[in-house]
Amino acid sequence: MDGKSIKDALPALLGLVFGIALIAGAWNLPPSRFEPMGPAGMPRIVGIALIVLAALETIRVARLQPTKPIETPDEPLQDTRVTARKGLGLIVFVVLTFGYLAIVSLGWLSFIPASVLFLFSTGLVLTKTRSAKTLLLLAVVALVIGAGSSRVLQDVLLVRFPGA
Amino acid sequence: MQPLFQSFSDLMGALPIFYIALGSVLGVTVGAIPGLGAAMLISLMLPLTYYMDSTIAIIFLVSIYVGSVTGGLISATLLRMPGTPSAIMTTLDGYPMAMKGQAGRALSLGIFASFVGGLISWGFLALLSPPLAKLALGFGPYEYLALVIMALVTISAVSSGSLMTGLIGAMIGFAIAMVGPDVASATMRLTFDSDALNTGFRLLPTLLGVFVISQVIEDILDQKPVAQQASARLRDVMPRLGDTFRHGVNLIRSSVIGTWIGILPGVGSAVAAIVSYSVARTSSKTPEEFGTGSEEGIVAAESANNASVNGALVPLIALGIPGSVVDAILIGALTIHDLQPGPGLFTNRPEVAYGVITSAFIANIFVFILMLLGSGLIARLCTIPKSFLLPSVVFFCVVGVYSSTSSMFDVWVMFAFGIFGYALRRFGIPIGTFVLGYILAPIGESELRQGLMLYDGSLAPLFTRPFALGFLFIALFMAVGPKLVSTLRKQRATAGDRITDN
Repeated sequence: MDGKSIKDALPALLGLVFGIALIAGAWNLPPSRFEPMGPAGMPRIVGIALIVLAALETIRVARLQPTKPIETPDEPLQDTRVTARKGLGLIVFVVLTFGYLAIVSLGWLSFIPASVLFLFSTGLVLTKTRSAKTLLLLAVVALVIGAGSSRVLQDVLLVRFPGA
Repeated sequence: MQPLFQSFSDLMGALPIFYIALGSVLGVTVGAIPGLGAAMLISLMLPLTYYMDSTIAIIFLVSIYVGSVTGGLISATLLRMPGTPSAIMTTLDGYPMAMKGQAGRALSLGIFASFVGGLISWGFLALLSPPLAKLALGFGPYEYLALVIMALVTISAVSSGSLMTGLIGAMIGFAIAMVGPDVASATMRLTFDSDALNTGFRLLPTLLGVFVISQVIEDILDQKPVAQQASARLRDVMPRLGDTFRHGVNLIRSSVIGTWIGILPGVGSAVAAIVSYSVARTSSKTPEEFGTGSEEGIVAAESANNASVNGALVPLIALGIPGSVVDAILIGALTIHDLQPGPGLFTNRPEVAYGVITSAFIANIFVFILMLLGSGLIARLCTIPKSFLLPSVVFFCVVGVYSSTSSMFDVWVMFAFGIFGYALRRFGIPIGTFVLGYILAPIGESELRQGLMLYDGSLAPLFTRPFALGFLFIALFMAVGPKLVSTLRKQRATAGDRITDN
């Protein structure tokens, strides 16, 4: 049997949160006039189902054997560095993506230059080798995809991008 | 048969053939690249199809679906990385064969098995769908409600994690779909007084977020080094006639298994490949070779996973119930194009219903030719660094959502669902069940409410109408059957041990 950990309790917790939110959200909905169920019926049914499922999942997890602490040799320094680098890469990627969307949403930069910058900078964050050849390739890809495809969509399919 | 021939004739024009060929090429390519897959590509292509005729759009998406399952074979064999989950079993024997210098032979067997699996299952698709749709025209609201329950329970039972986590995922999908106007009275529900949510969470941002953005996040954190790459010569990839006879029984058996598993709502091609692989190993004269480079293993896995695609299309076009997660997205595509999924499709829009069947056949042939000629080239595409691929995927998601909704709010919603989808993956909640719940929620709710109105607020017909009861029994069996079987096996084993001890 699998061992239990805190992670196993998370689906039940999420189910419980959604279940309570559904019941709370359906609380003030008007009663039905023309049919037996009304608009609040389904959210209540699904909310109760989620709470029951969360309870059943909690019981299932509680019955699992607790995980014995396994004595593992220390993680090699190189692996820790790789994991940290990937994590940092993800954070920077998310920040750049949100920055890109914010810039476009607020109209600080029009869509095409913002997209080219986004493609180049995120590619730079994710790439492992930063040679001149890679940088050039990234710039070409950013220009072709960011500017090229946006122009095609704008001119051929008449899509109006923000700031365009 | 007449409408089927008419559909073949209609799709022989330059435009349909172009889109089927394009869909097949894109499907095979994306299927071969680990981390990308049919669900991701079809979600990504949905906005583009807004500009197409609805029949062309659907046949294009079906061709992507057919191609992507076969494409997984290339990276599974040459790179030891299953391009799609359905190619996991192929990796077990394909890569060892490739490392023994038989990459061409492994690919040849896989391509041939995929083709035969596709053809056999297509026969089932063409023969079963129209009569099943005719039968389903007599279904009332409770039969459809029971089908929705069956689909949700089945996918939750076979997905990764426990049945409970699967069902929690499905119910959360239901909850998300209920935000916005109520299906019957248009009363605003669960918007928490936010005007931005008055239209609810639209299909496209939700799908792209949950499938694509969450996968991008996963890929950034999980960039695996590429395994030693094998290569294959075109001459070796060509199938041999002898294989048809040598693997004939395995081919037919695995194709039939794949088709029937595909027909079960919610069960995907990965399960089909696993089951047929297990059956092939059990009935093999050389079971010890499985996992070390067995030809039978490749044939079983590849014929079954391809057969399941056409199998899954049966409930999609005949009943409007998705046979797999990708089918759930296809149902979304039908809805986007103002087409009502279900048996009415055969009577109201026969060109679309038969177009799905016909395009699956033509795409199967295109994919076969493409795989024979281009496997080596496609394998090279698998090695494109993710640093080039992932930012472009995010960019196309932004463009796709914005061009179809003209709303930056929806783009933000997509990213929020991306993070939510990643959290679901981390929490161990399968996103397939979430998407199925999200897609099936409007159908489930409207059928329940119609049923209650029709039967004066009574739920009794759900248990007295034979088809509805039958679907509920299947759902119950899927929920408790596996547990019951394993408990019985344990008891039998314990009893056997006691007899031996005595």
